[in-house]
Amino acid sequence: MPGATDAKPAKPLKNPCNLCQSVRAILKRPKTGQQLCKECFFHVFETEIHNTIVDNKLFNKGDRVAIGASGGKDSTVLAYVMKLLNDRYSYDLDLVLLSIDEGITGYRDDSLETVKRNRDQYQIPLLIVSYKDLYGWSMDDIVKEIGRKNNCTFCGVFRRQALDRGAIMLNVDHIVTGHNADDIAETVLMNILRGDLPRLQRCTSIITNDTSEDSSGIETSKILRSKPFKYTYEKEIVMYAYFKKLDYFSTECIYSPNAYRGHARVFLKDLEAVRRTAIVDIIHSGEALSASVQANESTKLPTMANCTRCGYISSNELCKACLLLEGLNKGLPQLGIGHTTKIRRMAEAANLASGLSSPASLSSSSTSGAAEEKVKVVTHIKDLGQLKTMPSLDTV
Amino acid sequence: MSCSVEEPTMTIAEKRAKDRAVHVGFCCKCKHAKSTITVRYAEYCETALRNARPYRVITPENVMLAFSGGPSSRALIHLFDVFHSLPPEVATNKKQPKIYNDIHVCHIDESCLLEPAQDREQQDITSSSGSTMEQARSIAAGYGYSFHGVAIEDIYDPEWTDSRCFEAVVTLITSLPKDQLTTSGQAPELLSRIIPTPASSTSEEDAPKLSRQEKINKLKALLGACTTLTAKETVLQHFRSSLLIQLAKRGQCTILALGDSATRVAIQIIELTSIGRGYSLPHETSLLSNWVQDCKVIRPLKDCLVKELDSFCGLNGLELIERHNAQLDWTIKTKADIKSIRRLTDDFITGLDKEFPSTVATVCRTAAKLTPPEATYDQKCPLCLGPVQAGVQEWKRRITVTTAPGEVDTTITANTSNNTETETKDSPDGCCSSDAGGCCTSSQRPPCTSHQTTITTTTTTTTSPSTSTPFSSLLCYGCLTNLRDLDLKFMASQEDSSDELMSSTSFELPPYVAETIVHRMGFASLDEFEHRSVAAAPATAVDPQESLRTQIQEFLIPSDDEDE
Repeated sequence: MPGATDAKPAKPLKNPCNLCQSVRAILKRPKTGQQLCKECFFHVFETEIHNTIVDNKLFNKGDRVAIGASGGKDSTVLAYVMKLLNDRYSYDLDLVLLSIDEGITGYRDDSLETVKRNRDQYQIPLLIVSYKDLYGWSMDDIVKEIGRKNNCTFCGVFRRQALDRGAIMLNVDHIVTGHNADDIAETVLMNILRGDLPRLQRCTSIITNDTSEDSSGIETSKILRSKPFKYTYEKEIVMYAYFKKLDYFSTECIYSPNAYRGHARVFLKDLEAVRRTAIVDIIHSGEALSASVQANESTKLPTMANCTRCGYISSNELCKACLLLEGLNKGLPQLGIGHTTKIRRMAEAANLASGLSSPASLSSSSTSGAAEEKVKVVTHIKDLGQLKTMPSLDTV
Repeated sequence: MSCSVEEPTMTIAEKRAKDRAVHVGFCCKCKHAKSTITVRYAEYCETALRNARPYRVITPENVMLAFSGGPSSRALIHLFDVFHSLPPEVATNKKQPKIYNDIHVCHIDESCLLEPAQDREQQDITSSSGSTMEQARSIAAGYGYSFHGVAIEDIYDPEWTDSRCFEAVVTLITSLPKDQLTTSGQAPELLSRIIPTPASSTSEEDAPKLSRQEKINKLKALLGACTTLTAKETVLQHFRSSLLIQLAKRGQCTILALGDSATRVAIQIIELTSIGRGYSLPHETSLLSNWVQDCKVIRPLKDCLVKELDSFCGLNGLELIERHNAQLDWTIKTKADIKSIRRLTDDFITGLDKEFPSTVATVCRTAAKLTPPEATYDQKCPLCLGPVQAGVQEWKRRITVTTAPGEVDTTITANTSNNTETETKDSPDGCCSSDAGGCCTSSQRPPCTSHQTTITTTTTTTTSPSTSTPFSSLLCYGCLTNLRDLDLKFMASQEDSSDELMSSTSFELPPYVAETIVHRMGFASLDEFEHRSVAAAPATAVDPQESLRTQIQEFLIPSDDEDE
């Protein structure tokens, strides 16, 4: 009942919260359109994530879990909520923050400051792993080399490996990332548009890298990855961060621009404006489609093996990261992007022509001198534990 | 060019063929023209080879072509003619197998949904101004195909159902009282009420039970109850499919051919994904679909872009029907509603295809590799007649929390029990047993004058007597999502008094929906449903043990203390 302290009968509440009916509503929930008060919003937001975690049995008690932290809103809220739920429902998880420094000046260095603040605010230890240390190339270097097209491919591939490597260094069982419902819906649409069946089958899984049933005997890190925000709307994450006054860094990557994903994103926003449940509907459709792909035995899904150079899981002899790195080091940035046979032919032809040294015809002369510095062999997975040069865990 | 059989290098097979050949040097088919081509050791003249069918036909089937009047379906008709026609000298040869037996054309006249020109003054719309039926008929006649026409409003005619005469309609009711609904945030649990339509007062057997105007009004009432353009378009699409399938069955056709172009299929794939129909997507976009019993649905033009088909029609001078599809713009009240998911997807794919020309082909190829769910002819969604996934409502509830802090969610347990009850097909009392002690007498029909079907929401807590049947629990995910867009003020709540029920419900769902609900509940016919025994409804759920026992009764050996 609205608390009127005087003897007058309480005025009927204008615009009461739909759930508790006891306080005035201050927001409209993007997922359902309900009008809620702050506390009820926090309650539904947090409870839904808890339900997702519990229903999908994401964690075991005592698991050591790394939270992929970029400093953006998704990972900040993820860190906050993971800690909150861990305490509230006694998941007994050992939480750490893992951050990747791609080496993008004016973007990543700022967001890393945010992550460091998060470490202090939420009292969770932090490890930062950088591309420069791992691969010898920062994103700034890469973009200087290859231009602004296809750079997202490099960054994505390198980041995925970097996260896993960081996780091995931290000796965790599980990585959680802040992929939200909008991301997954976009990915479903993108995979249909691009005809990528294997990805379509995997993209709606809440837990990936689950090789427990895989008996092929390959060496994998067996670190699971999951997305607790799978059914959480991006708008609600922003709203949560806003009302909880959480600290996050919110600009777009400066190299981002014309990725194909942008088209899917605009379309998704339009759909959401017409029907707010469209995002969840797409995820539901995606789950059904994933089962359909799986049922189709004629779809050839790639078999997994280990990269011969660095030991990472791969469907080819060389994992994508090693392939890309090879291209960068040799001055053949197209290697690993698009159809490789043509590039390989060119590379082989160039190699033969110049006698196996850096092909001068294909790379600029300025990099050939610096080539020796940049060539770096990526550390094999099994050696990661003994690294001396990596930054050590930045404890609180 | 002539090939002669060479003597010195003959193989054994050639020798055998030569021995078999009765008329060496002459065509083996017509036997009198000189042979010019040798194929597989048999000689043919040119004419015979052109007419030889390089495929095997087991039994020729009847085909129904769905003709909307647009360029894709117009091209379909023409191409079928080209493909199927035989040159006269062969047509008279009865032994020549045909690929298809009879070709029929059907058309759905949607002119009642076009923008009203002067409909206000014109109450009687029997004059065919704006009707597309005659144009369609004359086009079909040009090819000598049998023509079947139906109007979109005929979906409300009891004739257009599997049983040919299912005289009942469905109204929906919300399970919660209205004021609770607006705040719940969840899609309301809808129940249905099957209202048998009163028997026709005329003695004529063939007189249509409803006049055309009445049917149009019902259709418009339903469309009016949908608040978004997306919902309207989707519901219309379901009605169209239902009519097409019925038309195919009436024409004794085992194949229904749709003129969907590659562009249309690609748009459809993205649209279906966006409205949550991923489960039925493989059936709705494949080249050949077996989802409908006894009727194969094919999309032969699936690899042609709509631009190609458009040019094809133009170059061949094929006439189209203007304004052939329902235009629903005039039903929209606010500017915000002008967009629908279909239109957005259309713009998106068309735009994307300009920049990345292989988009349409890639999308179609992706969907072609999906395995459709098993065809279960008796588990169809009442609204769209498509496949239904299990646990759909449960999934929705899990991902959206709608209880306040500290509150226990009672709707989950309550509705689950409702679900299990409705799934026991053996017990006809299933639908009513949720009402504790409620007496559902089938004689409790609303007065004849009201055609209102009340949509009743069934809450398990209510004790008011109701002849309500499940609805939301029978739907597929796509239809559940779609019906969220129904305007609640057009529906009554289960707890309303009968007066309120009469006045507030104002739309009905067509007979085929009633038929499917009745079948899903385990009854074979409307009669059986109406005469189900309701008086003996126990307060609790029907004991499955008991129903099993009755089935094996004859095999049970009575124990000594039982008589007989």
